[in-house]
Amino acid sequence: MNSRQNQQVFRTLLNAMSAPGKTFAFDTAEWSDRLSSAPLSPACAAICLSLLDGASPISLFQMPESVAPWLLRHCRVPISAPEQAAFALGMGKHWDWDRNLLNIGSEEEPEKGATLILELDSLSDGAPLQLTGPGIASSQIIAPRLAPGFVNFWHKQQGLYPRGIDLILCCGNACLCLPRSISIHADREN
Amino acid sequence: MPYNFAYLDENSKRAIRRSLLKAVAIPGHQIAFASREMPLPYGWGTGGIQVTAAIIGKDDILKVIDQGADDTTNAVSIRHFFQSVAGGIATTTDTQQASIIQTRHRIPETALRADQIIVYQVPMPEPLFKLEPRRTETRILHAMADYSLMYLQLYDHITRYGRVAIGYDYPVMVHDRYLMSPSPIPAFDVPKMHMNPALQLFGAGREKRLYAVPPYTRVVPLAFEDYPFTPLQAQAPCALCGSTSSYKDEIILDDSGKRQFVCSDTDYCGKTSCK
Repeated sequence: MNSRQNQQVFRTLLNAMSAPGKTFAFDTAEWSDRLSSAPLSPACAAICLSLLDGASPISLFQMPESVAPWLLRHCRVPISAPEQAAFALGMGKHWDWDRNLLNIGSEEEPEKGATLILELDSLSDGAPLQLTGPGIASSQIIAPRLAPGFVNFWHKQQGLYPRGIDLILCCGNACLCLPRSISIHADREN
Repeated sequence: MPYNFAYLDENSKRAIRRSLLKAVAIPGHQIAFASREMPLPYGWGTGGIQVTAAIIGKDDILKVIDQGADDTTNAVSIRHFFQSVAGGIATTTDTQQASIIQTRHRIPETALRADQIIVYQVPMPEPLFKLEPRRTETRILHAMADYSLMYLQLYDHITRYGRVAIGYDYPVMVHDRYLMSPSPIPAFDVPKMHMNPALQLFGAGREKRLYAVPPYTRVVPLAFEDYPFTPLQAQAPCALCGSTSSYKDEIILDDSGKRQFVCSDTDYCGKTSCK
């Protein structure tokens, strides 16, 4: 990816992180052939290409076998154990929310908490969740299709704030972000 | 040899970008970053420039202000810097036209929008620095959210001066968790940070720290119930445009000490006097 594509992907991601729950689409038409060879969704591949390098170890969870070689080849990113990873890549439908293996940072350095990038089947046909907090003017409703136990996980993680992990949910060429600072409420436990 | 777009190499930009995303996720928390050597000395906005370089793209319109003015040395040279290293990027002095506003020590009078980003140049990111100079200690104080030292400082001011005598760099609480330096903006500007629709990014080059306030985030100046936050404001209207609501600079006119007040925000002043 060239400098301009890196910048465009990052700005979209920065907007998404600053507006939790809002869905942002990446303009990927220009480099579709590069992304179509990736074993990831276009959004996820674009994020990896623009954000990862040798200084940002990543951990893979139940991803297709072709993902690791693709990441090594295109991002030169070291694949690491979950505890040392700055980023993690997983499948939304298989993610085990009851067992978090990822680094959540320390009280002094909460920024060491990992960024979890999840591939989802849908960002809009799951159970509705209500978000409030920084980046959201009043409240925001989202409905990503997440594995059960997510709301419980988030409530637990909120008790540890500022420690925690940040989420980037990807589907197709769109993403939405859930930084640790926001509160999430569900009408019923899902 | 030509420079990479926006001066920094892609690896440096990626490192800053990853830190910026974490900074947005933890409002008000200072994050260490590998501050690069820039082609101008520390104290001239190296932190702000690196943040701007990491976020700026071809479609952006950049505005740079120094103490509110678009035409001071620092503002002009940073604008020229980005014009020359970022492929002739568009610049403006108009607050409403700008998509990125890099600022030293002011927030524009014109209200910012959700599609704008304001980048602050920060000399000292640690709000507790004057009370506890050891970084190792302030890290622990932030971790425990122990800000009693700062409250004591405010109390000390009240007993000595009868009011909180902090005119600029007024300490604020962000998202009810972190004490943050708003950079040396006047206390007058601090209320503009609260629930601002624009993303606010802060870069400190010498201190190698960056932090952020996302849009619509609580930013509350420290105060006591019986001594509420009361920023000072010049009592005279602007001598040029007549504005009574803007922040003023006091200008000495002659050797006999004649003085007048004029808007510090040159773009706002120019537009107001045209009306």
